[in-house]
Amino acid sequence: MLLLRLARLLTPLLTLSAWLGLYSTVHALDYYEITNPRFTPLRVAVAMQPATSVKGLFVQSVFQSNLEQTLFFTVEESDSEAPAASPPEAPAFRLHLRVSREKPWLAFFVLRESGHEKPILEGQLEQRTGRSLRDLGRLLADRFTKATLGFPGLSFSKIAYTAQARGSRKNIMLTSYDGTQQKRFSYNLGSNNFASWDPAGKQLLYTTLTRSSAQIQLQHVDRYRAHILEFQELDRRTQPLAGSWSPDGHGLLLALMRQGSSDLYQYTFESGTLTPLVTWRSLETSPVWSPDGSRIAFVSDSARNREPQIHLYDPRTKRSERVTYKGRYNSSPRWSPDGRMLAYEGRRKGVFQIFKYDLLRRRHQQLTFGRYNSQQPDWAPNGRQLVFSSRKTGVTKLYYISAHGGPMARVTTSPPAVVETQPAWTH
Amino acid sequence: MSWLRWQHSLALLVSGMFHAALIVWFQQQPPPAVANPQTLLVQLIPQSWAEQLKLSTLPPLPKSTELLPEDDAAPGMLFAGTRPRLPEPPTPKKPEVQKKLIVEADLLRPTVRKAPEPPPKLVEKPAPESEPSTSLNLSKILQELPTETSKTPEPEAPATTVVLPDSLLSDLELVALDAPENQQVSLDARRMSVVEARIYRTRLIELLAEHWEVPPHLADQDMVVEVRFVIARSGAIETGEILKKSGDRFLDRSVQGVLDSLPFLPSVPDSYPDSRYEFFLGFNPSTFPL
Repeated sequence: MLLLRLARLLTPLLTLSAWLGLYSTVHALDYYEITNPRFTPLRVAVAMQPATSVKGLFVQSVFQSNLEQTLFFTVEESDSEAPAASPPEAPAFRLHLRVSREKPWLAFFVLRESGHEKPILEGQLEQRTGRSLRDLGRLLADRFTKATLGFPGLSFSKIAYTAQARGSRKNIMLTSYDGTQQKRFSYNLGSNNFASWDPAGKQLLYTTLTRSSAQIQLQHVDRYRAHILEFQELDRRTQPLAGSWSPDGHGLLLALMRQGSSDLYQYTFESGTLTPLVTWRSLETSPVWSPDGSRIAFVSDSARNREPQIHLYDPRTKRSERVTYKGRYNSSPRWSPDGRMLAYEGRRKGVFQIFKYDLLRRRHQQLTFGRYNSQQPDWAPNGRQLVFSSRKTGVTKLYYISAHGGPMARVTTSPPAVVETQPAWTH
Repeated sequence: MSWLRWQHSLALLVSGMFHAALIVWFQQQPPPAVANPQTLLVQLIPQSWAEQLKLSTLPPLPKSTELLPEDDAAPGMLFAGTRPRLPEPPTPKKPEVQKKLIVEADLLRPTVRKAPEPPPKLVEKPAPESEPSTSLNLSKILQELPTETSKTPEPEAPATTVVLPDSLLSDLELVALDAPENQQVSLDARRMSVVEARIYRTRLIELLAEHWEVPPHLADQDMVVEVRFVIARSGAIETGEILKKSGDRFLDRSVQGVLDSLPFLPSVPDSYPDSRYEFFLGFNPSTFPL
C-alpha cells in the first residue's frame, strides 16, 4: 500500500522532470517570426483605348473610385503602348479597357497580373436596359475584385445614414458606395434616426422623433412615402425608440420605452403581436439579430447605472451573456455578415473608438486609435470593411476602414456644414 | 486517499517550480566546465584511491582553475535557447584521444575500484611493454591527456573587459580573454550574452517588418511563408530563400520582394562565435487582437 502511494506520488514528478529535462536539452535553430508588416494597397495600372474617349474615361473614373474605396487598391493611369516595368516597380495588375463609341455601350477589358502574359480575366460588359454607363464601371470594379482577391465587390451596395445640415432637422440619406451619388430619403417634419435595412435591401426602417411622439416608419427604397408602424398593444405612454430587422425579414426587434425603462420586444408582421424578450429593470437598447437568427446583441446598463455594456441574448434558452467588460461605455453592436464578429463603439480615456469582438476567440481588437470620437460602426456586406462616423476633421463624417484596421477613407464629399451619423450598410 | 490529492498537487507544483528555476539558471549561467580533467579526477576519486593510484606523481594543479564556457552550455542567439549547429571545421584525427576518453569514462564508473588493486602475480610475470596493458596507469594517461586549456589562452592571462562605445551594444560588456596583438582572439573564447541576442533579434525583426509590404486584404490571414537566411558576420546575405510558400501568391510575392530588396541585414554581434549565422524566418501577416 505504501509503495502504491509512493508510486502515485512520484509518477507525475518523474513525468514532469522528464518533460522539463527533455525540453531543456532540445537544441533548435533560431526562428524569428515577422508579424507586423506594412500594409500597402495593390497598384493597378489602367490603360484606356482610345485615350481620348470620353465615355471610356467616365467608365474608368467610376471603376477607379469604386476600386479605391475598397482600400485594397490604388489605381493609376498607364500608357498601353509603354513597355512593362520590371517586377519591383511594376504594378500588381494591368487592365486594358476599351469602350465602344456608340450605343449600346460596351466595355472590353483584359486584366493581366504582373509578370504573366496570360490574362486572368477578359471579356466585355454590355449596358443593358435600365442601366447607366456608370453601372459598367461598377460592374467592372466588382468583377475585378472578385477575380483578384476572391471576394465580392461592394460597388452596388448602398449606405443609409442620418444627415443634419446646420439649422435643420435630421434626415435619412442614401449614398452609393463610392460616395459620388447621394439622395435624400426621408421627407417629413420630424427628426429621423436609426436607419435599418431589410435583408433584401429594398426597405428601410427608421425612427421619427417629433416633439410629442416617436414613430417607427417603413419606407421602400424607390418611394418617397413612408408607412408608420402602429402597434395596437401599446398604450400612449409607451414610445418606440428604435427597431431592426430580423434576418428572415418577417419581424422586427424593437426597443420600447415605458415609464422610464426601455425593454426589448419582438414584433411579427404576420400576427402583428409583440413578444417581450428582455424586460429587465435597467435600460436595454440597440437590439440586433445575428445573421443566423440564433442570438440577439443588445446594450444594457444592468451592471451599473448609465454604464451601458453589450450583451448577447439567446431567445431559445432565454439566457444572456455579457460581452464587454473593459471601459464604462460600450454600445452600438453590429454583427458581421458571417456572424463571427461584433463591431461596437467603446469609450476609452474619454474618446470613443471602434472595436471588433471575435466571438470564437473571445478577443477584442481596437480598430481606430485617433484622439477623436469614432462611433456607430456597421459592416460591409462582404465583411471586409466597416463604415462608421468620426470627428476626424472636427465635423462628424462617415468613413470607411478595413475590418482589420488601418487607414480611414471618407465616404461622401458632402460640405463641412453637414453632420453625418448612424450609417447602415445594405446586407 | 483524499489527503493524497492536495499533497500530490503541492509536490507537483514545488517540483515544477524547482525545475523551472533550474532551467532558467542553466540558461543564464551554464555550469562551469572543468578546464583540466585532472581536476575532475582528483575531485572525484577519494584520497585513498589517489594514494593507491600514485596520483602524487601527477603534475601540480594550477592554483586557480580557469572556467571556460562550453559550446553546448553557451546560450545561442535566441533567449529561447537555440543556436544553429554549423558544421564544425575538420580537425585532425587523434586516435589517442578517443582511447583516453574511454579510459576516463571508465574511471568514473564504480568498477574503477578494482583497477587500483595490483595484480598479485604482476611482479613474477611482468607483461611485455609492447603489449597493451590491461591495468590502468593513470599517471601516464593523465599526462598524455590533452587539456582544454591548450585551446585557449594561458590561464595567467588576466581577463579584460571590452566596452564598445557609440554602438547599440555600448551598454554591454563583452568579456574576452586577452591575447597578444599579433595573435587573433579565438571566437570560441567569447560568449554570447542573452541581452545581445535580444537586441539583435529586435533589430532584425524591425528591419524586416519595415521592408515587408503586404496587401491589406491579407491582414489577419493566418498564413506563414518560411524563409531561410545565411548571413556573414558583416550582415551580408549569403543565402536567402523561401523554404515553404503560403499558397497565397500575393503573400509569397511580398516576401520575395523582401528577399530581393535587402542586400544586407544587421551585422551579427561581435560576441557571436561563428563566422556565419543561419536562421529561419516565418512571415505571418496576422495581427493579434488585444
